[in-house]
Amino acid sequence: MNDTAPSQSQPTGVIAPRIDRPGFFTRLLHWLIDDPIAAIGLAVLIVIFSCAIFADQIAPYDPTLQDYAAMLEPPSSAHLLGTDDLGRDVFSRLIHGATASVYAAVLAVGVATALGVPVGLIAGYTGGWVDEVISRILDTFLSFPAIVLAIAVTGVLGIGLTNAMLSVGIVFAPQLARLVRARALVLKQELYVEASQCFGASSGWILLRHILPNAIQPVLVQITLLMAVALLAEASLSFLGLGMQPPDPSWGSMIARAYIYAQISPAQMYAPGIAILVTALAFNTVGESLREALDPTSRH
Amino acid sequence: MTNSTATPPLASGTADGPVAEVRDLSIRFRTLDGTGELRAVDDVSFDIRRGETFGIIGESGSGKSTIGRVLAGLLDPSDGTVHFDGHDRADFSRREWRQARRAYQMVFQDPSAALNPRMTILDSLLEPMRFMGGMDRAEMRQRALDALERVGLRHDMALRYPHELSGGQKQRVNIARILPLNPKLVVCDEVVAALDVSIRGEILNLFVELQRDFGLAYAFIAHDIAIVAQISDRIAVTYLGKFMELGRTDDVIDRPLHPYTVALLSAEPQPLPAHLRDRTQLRLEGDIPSPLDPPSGCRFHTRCPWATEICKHESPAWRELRPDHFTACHHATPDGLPPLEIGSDG
Repeated sequence: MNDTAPSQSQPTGVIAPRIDRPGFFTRLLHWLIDDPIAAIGLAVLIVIFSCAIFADQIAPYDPTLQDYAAMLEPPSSAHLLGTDDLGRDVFSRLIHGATASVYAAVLAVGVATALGVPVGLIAGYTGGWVDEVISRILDTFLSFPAIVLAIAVTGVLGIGLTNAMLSVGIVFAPQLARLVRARALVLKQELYVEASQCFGASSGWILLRHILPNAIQPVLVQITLLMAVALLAEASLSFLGLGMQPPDPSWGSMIARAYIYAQISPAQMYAPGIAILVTALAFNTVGESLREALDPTSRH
Repeated sequence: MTNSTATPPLASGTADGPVAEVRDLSIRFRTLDGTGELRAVDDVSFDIRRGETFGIIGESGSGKSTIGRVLAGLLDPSDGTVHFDGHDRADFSRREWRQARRAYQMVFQDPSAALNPRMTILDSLLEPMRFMGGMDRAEMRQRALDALERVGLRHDMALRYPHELSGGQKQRVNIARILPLNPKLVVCDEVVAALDVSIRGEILNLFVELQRDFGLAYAFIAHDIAIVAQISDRIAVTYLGKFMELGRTDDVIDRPLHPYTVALLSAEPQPLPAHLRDRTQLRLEGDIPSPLDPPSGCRFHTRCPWATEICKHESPAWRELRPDHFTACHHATPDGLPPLEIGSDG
C-alpha cells in the first residue's frame, strides 16, 4: 500500500468520495450470496419460525383432536405423517410443536444471554474481588449436572414449559458468562481500550463499544449451539413431564410419547426427531457463518 | 536524588508554565506472587515545557514507558506528584479528569493494536470527539476527515477497517485521532519502532510538522538515541527506573556527563572509520540488572568503567553541573568525566 500522502489522487475541486457504508440489506444480501449454506440454514429457520407463528393456519387438523378409529396409522393422504397412539394427526402436532419448541429454545437462550453476558462482562472487566465472587458462584452452578439443576429450578418455579425453559436459561447462563469473562479479561488490556481511556471514555462506553463487540464472536457460536441444546433440553424436560403439559404438543413431548410405542411403530419418532435435528443444524450453520461475517478481518 | 536540588519549586499555574511537572515520582508494581516489589520508576523529577520535545531514552526495563503512561494519565504515581498545567493529578475528581485528560494524549508503539479491529477508521476518528460534546455528527465527521487529510491520508481511507491499512497508515490514523482534541502534550511511546525504516522518517517529519502547527509538547520515548536526538529539544537518559542525565540535546550528545550516556553514544554506529573518530569505544559488560533487585548505591555501578568504592554504597545526588544540564554521578564534573585509566580501547 502506498504510504505517502496521496494528495495527487484527490485534487481540490473534485467531490470527495462518498463516505457511507452499504445499508443493512445490501450487506445481508452479500453475506447470503457469499455463503449459500448459511442461506439454506436461514431459509430453514424462516420456514420453522413461520410454522411456529402460523401453526393454526397451516395445520390441517386440531393437534389435540383424538380419533380412536385411526390410531398409530402410517402416513397416508389423510394424515401426511400418520397418527399417534391416540389417533392425533402427527403433521398437525409437528407444526404446533414448532411453536412450543421455538418458543422454548428462544426463551432459554434469551434468558441465558441476558443473564450470562452482562455478568461475564462485569466480572472480566472489573476484576478483583467482584470477579472472584462472581466466578465462584459460576463455578458452583457449573459443578451441577445441567439437567439436575434444571429440574431443581423447575421445582422451585413450578411445572410448565415457560418455567422449564427459564430454568434451562439459568442453567445455560454460567457457560456464556464464563466465555464472556475470559474474553473481557483479555480485551480490557488491549491498547485500543487504553487509547479510549485517554480520550476520556467511560467504563460503560468501553464495555459496549470495545469489549462487547470483540467478545461477541465466540458468544454467537455458543448461542447457536445452545439453541440446539435447548431444543433437546425441552425434549428432556417434557419427556420427564416437567415441560409441555399434555395434550399440547411439543417436539420433545412427541418423542417422549413415541418412545413408548417404539417397538410397535418406530416411525412415530422420526418426524419430531428429524425436526429437532434439522432445526439444531440450521442454528449452528447460521451461527458459524454469522461469526465469520461479523469479523471484518475475515472479509476480503 | 533526595537532594533538595532535585525538587525545584513548582513553576506552574501560569500560562507559560510547564505542561507537566513531575516531582519525586515513584512507580512500584507488586510481583505476581505478591511477595516482591518492582520499582519501575524511582524518585524522578522533571518538567515538560510548553511546546518542547522531551526525549526519554533507555533500554527496555528502564521505566521509560512507565513514565509515559503516567504522563498520559494511564497510571497513578505510587509516590510523588504529577501536575498537569499546574493542577495536581491527585486533586482531580473522576469526572473532572475525564474532561481534563483530553489535553494529554498518547500515541502507542503498536499502531495496529491501538485501533479497534471492528471499528472503521471513521468510527475510530469520531470516538474521541464523542466525549467532547457540543458537535453534531456532520461537524464531527468533517473534523475527522480534515484530520485524516492533515496526516496525509485520503478521505476514502475512512471507510476501511484497520487491517486494510499498512502500519504507517495506521500510525497516521492514530495521530489523526488526537488532533481534534487539541492536546497540549502527546506522549509518543516508541512510535516508530514498529514501522519500516523507510517510513520512520515520514512519520517523524509528521510529528515535527504538527508540533510546529499546533504547538504540541511531546514526551518522546524511544530506545534509539539517534531518533530521540533528531527530534528532541531536551533528553533524559533513564536506567533502571532512575534518571542518569537530563539536559539540552546538544549538551547531552556532544558533552555527556554520565558514563551510561557515554556508553549509549558509543554504541551508535559511526559514519567515520575508527582512526578518525574522536570518541573512544566504550563497551558495556553484561545485561541490565533486574529491577526487582537493583544494585546498591549508584544503579549503574555494576557496569560502569568509572565505578569506585563510593558508587557501591552511596546513591549519587542529582546535580546541575552545567546550566540546565543535570546528572547523577559521583565522578562527573562540569568538564565531563575524568579520563579513564584502564578499560578504554580506542
